Amino acid sequence: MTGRTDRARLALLWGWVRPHRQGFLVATLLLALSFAVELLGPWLVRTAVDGPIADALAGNEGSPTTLLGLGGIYLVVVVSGGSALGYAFARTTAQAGKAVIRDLRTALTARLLTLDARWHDRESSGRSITRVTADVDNLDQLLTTGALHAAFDLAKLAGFAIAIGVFAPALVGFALVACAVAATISLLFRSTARTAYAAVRQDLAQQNGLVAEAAAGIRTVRALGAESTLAARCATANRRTRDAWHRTIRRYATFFATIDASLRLSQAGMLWIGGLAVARGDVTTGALVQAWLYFQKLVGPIRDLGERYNVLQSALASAERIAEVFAAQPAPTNPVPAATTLPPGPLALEFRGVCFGYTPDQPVLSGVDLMVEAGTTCAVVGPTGAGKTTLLALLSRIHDPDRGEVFVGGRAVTTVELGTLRRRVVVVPQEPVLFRGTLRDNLLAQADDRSSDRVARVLDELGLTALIDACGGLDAGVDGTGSQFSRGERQLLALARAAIAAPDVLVLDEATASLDSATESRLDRALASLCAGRTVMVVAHRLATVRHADQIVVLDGGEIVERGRHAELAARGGRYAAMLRAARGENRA
Amino acid sequence: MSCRATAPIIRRLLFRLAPFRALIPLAPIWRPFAARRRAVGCGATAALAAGAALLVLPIAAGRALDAAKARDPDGVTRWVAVFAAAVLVEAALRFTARWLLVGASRNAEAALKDRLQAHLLRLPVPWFDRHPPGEIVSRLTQDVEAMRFTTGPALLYGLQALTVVPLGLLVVLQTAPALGAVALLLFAGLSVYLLRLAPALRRESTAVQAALGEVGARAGEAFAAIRFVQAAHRVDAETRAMASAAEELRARSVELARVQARTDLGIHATTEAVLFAGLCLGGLAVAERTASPGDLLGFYALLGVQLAPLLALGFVLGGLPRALGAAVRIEEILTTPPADAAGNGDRPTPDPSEQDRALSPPSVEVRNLTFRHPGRETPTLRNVSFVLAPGETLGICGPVGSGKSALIDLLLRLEEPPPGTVYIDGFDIRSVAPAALRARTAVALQEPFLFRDSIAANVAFGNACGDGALHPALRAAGIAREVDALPGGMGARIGERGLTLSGGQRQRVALARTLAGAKPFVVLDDPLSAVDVAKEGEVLDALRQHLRGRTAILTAHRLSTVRIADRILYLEHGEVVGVGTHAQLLADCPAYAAAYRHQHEAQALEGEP
Repeated sequence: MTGRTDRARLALLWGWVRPHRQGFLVATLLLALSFAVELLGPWLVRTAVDGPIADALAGNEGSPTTLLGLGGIYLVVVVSGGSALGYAFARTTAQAGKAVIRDLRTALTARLLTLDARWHDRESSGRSITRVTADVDNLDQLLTTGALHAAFDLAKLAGFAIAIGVFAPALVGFALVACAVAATISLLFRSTARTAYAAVRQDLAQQNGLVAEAAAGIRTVRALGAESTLAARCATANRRTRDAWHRTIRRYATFFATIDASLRLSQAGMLWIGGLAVARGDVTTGALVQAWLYFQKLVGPIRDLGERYNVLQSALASAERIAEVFAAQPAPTNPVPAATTLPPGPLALEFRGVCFGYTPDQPVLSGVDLMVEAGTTCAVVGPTGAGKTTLLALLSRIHDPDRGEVFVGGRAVTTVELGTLRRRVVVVPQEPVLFRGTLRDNLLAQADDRSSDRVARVLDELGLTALIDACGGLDAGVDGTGSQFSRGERQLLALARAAIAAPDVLVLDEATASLDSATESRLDRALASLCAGRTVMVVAHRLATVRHADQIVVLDGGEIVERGRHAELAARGGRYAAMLRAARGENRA
Repeated sequence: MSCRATAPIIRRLLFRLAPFRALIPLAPIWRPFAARRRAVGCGATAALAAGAALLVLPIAAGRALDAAKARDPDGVTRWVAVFAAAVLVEAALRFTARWLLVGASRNAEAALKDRLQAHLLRLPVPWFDRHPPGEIVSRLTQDVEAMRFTTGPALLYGLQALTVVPLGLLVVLQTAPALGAVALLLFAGLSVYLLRLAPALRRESTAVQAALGEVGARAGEAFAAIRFVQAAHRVDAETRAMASAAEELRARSVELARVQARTDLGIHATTEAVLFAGLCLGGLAVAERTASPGDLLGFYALLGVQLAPLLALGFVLGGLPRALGAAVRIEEILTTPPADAAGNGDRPTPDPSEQDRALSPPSVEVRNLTFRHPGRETPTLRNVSFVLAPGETLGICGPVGSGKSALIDLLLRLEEPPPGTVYIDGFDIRSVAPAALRARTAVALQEPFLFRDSIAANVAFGNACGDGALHPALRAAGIAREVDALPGGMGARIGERGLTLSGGQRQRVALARTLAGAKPFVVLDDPLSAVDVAKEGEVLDALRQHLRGRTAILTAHRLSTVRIADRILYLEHGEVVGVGTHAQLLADCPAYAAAYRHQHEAQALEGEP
């Protein structure tokens, strides 16, 4: 756990509460009013006991009306007023609290989405989901049922103790002892409960990660017949979580038993001292009843203070996990202060001394220098794992280089507004992604121009019209993984998405790797028209695809080892020529 | 009549009662909970006894005050001592009850989760397309937690309320009958009020859970595809989608809070009304000397000890609708038949040669297979037939959308083929136990899925092979050198879905997994699509060696990949347009010949000096 203090964590929460503080202010006022009403109740009882009831016991007549009068006040103010105030309070906190939670949830997701992709590589998506759901819910608990109540409970403790002091000074000592004992128990309990809860959260997140992973990879799991292996792994995680729960249960059981017993023993002490005082005639019966009732109201807050510790502890553990997200290194963000603009039209690309690694000890790119003139095509070839995909990822700033700089249109990418950059530099990735929504949503995801003529033309060029019709048209739904399409079909759809977006820089990362050569050659014309007038960077394993590029660079071990046009490189007898030979050997088969 | 005979009758009688019937969905959590008989029995007894001990407090308090009024200091001390003793006994009992009951509930939760996880993993693949990981996680955590609450915690609070409240009323009815009657009426009214709110509570909490599930699903999809989300500048769009999901969740939660506030209103108003009744009726009784001031204090003290259990009871009742909503969703999962449920019983009893067969390469036959994907209007496969002899390698080729992967899914039973279409060793695949089939089948899918674990663990995954087999498999898949270069070598851990490896590297790790098991039947769905041609050649040579003496099916979008096959099946629009060797197809199948020409031209270009 990092060194963030509880205060820092609560301050983080306050940042989200601030915009809705009016609601919480109203709630606070309502709570204060209901506190006043709560004080009134026992006072009415005492007045009755020492007044009309004592009179009646002493044989004086004519007091039932006074008794009923006091009862009337009780009915109107305490029963009706108190209930109405409680209801209003619950509604107000819910309104304000849930709005805060909505804001936090949205901002947390937004933040997670802008975190460096490497962070997501380390964290399973199950753990991230846990942060957005369970952890935020814990803060929700704190806001709507915990925080205000807890603060007010503390105020009530002081209030009732003073009230007891005023009405029955002899008994105030016991109220104070009770408070002190309860506070001590809470404090002792506090740190162990926090650790126990954090362990539960961590085990639970790990378990959820396992389940989410198994669900995401179900095809592989099934095909390998590995259901029972995974079930056993999940069961182990399950047992760990259960054991973590057991540790918290023992602690809480001890806590509740001790705090209840100590409060009730204080009550016993008060009864003893008070009873002896009544026997001596120092304190009236009514005063003892009133003190008893106040103390009874005090038991609730002190007891709840423990219950609220449940909420507070888990909320703090969750706040820590949320704070981690906000403290984590974000993916490249928008430049500050003012962004430079990109010139219109095709854009030149340049990599200058670029070094990058996913982990510090494992460089993927080491010192790449590359210039791609506006409107030309540059092909990047090389063995798998050479760093090709990583190089392309720097263009749209999925990552920023550790050293060196990347320029688009003559501007350092770090100075260009991200939205503009990513609208003008469009990547067709190795793993085509479809998301939940309609086919139309998917195809127009990156487009400014949403005209249907254009969409129809692109689909026609890419030979996708029949596929779209077979699925039931553009308004047909796509599920979360796009599983109704084959990989090749998904690649075609991703290409169509890029074509519809009509960017100035097109980045094709193995964008046709899953297409058979018949389909690919059918696409040649479409691809040529897609690339015309644009700056294109293309990664391809098949050398035929890159043959006509204006520039070919061979990347190996994170460095450019050769560059030039096809004919030059083929004649040079280096790495490229060797790759050609290998391909030719292939061809003979 | 024996117990065995009466139990069903009693159960039927109980289930006649509508409220009980509504509780049936909770059985999956209650069964493992009730199975811990000793813990639950002792815990429940302790909870009841704690309730009884709690009742001593108001009585002792009242007697102490009466002793005080009677100027009897010794009496005061005596009753205070009784009070203190009851406090200690109650604390010990409640510690025991909480420890045992809540502990048992966590055990039951773990048991239910085990069962759910094991069942989930057996559900049909298409089910997972409809239920994203985020939704599954939220069901497994929130829904199971809501159900757990109805066991230990509900019992702990409920049992206490059930002793303290009725017994307390009895005490009051004895000393001040009018007050007792009024209190009884008020509490009865409260019960009716709470029961009437229950449907609304249930409705709203179901809506909240659904909205929360949507939030989880949205988040899960976006996080899993984070690179695309960022590169395609969809962060804002995804954030907006989450904002609307979060707003829906807020609106539903506020609605739920409104209903809950009405519940609390009822509880608060009733409690205060009882105090009011105590003031008026109790005061009058004291004034008329039918009750003592001590009785009045006792009454108030009784309400004091009753209030917490009563509120807890409200808490339990409030949690019940939520739990029932959750239980229905959990039941949905548990009642979804697993993928392997269909017709595994009609398989003839295995003969003694079964053991040998598991190690021998199978024959495969596909007969007139027509298959329509649920999301498609036209069939993905039409009338496909072929026979594959043991030890033979069949290549499957065809343009995008020709049905290659669908065929693989059906052969692996990731999708259920229609009856009488796919045969393994002459048995309909639907009648073969999936476990037996998978034990002899090695698979590499087009989209390799690697776990967040070490490379060694990924290669060994699903294989009964020794550690010694791992490195040779990596070597055969042409990835050994790259793996050895990683810090930690085979022990290096892969990020989620292997994202720190390139696509081609992941495919080769997955291929190594296929090779490590040395299984007699090998199914490879375009296993090298992201691997460059030079590397592919190297890997194919090793693969050819491996497939010798094994039955194998290999699909590819590149014709060059299937050159290692004995025969090639060429598909177009889900139909077989040619089967044969490369030479036969070139001569007899114009579509294949055209595809080959395309590729040949492409490669001839590469071959030019």
